[in-house]
Amino acid sequence: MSKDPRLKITDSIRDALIGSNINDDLELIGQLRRFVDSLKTIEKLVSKFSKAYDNDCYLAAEKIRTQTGRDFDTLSHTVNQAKIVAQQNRPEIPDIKTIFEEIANLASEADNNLTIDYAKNTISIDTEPIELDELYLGKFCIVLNISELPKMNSLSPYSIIALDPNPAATNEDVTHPHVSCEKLCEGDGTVPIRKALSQGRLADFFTIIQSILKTYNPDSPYVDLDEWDGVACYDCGYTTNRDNIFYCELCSNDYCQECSSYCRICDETTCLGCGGECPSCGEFICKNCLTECQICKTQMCKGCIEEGDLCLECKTELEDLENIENEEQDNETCQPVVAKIQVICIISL
Amino acid sequence: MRIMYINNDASGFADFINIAEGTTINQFFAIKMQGCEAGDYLIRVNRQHVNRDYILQEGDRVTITARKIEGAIS
Repeated sequence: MSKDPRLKITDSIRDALIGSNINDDLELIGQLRRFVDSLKTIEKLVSKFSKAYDNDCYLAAEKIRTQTGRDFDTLSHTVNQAKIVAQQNRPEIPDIKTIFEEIANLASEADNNLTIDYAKNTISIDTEPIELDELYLGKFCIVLNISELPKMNSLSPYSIIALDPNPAATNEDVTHPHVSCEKLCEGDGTVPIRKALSQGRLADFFTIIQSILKTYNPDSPYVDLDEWDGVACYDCGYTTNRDNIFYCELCSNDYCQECSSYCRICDETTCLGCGGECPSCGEFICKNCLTECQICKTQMCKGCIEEGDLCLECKTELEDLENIENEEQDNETCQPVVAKIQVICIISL
Repeated sequence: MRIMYINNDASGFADFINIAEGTTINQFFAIKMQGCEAGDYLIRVNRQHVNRDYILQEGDRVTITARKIEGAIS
């Protein structure tokens, strides 16, 4: 009589959970090795320290003393890490019957949505279609890879595959606000997920994942639901992601890179409509930094406006005019004097 | 009376606890999840959905899982 296929996967799950505990032991061995290495380093320093004193090398002794302080910090850190790993409560590995009941329960609850792939060593469940804030994201398949269970503390042993994908316009790897490249950002679910898996509570694991997929956390998504279809440039309508959009403080709208610039005077980002080229120097200036020449009424940047709110051209013209007027005035005051001198000369002759 | 209680909230608590004889699942939820709405949670006994008046039995396995759990970029 052939073995019940569900028993095969049950065996596999139990082996993987035992493997997970073995991984914890290997991590502890690594921590203990680092602890022993730290001790050896300190032992060497003790020997160098006494030699330095024996030979009256006080400067060297001081250096070793400083080094010892640093090495004690490393030792203390290593001890704490080893202690954490050693004192961790190892989850009790569920027996075959319990795991089998979990799978049977999964099968009865998931109806036809449960798939056990013995060849790939996976258990997967299809979710119902998911919609968040009226945005349709479609069905997802939660695939638990039994072979990766032993590494569950460092790697995610499951994938979230969009069956009817409606990815974010700006990143097609993001199929859900909390799923990127088929990996879920677990947030508040991190600890319960690890605990459920390490204790072989498969039904709880799938329930927790579905609860996360059905919830939107606006504080930490890969892509905001508001920006799922991208952010459109107010000017040209080009859709792109938030990182490539620039906000114009003057008109309070979003613009793409092509439709925005920055003011060379105040450095503020502005759209092309809220600024323009200074006719004098040709630099892009926002309208707040434009000043009007009092004579020709041309608007230009503050850098190109001279004293008295005049552009250079008008100021030069004004100065020329003033010079001419001054010369004329000078001429007028000089003429009677010349006449007087002429009269005096004639009389004296 | 001893039962297995699994709370899939943030800490992922799972342990045996003692409760009074005759405690219903509804009363148990009210004691353990003060201030929470039962409707926001999936409550199972021995992996099955039960009536709110179900009286807990010795050795029962109670699982409480939030229907909404916030994901976040770590």
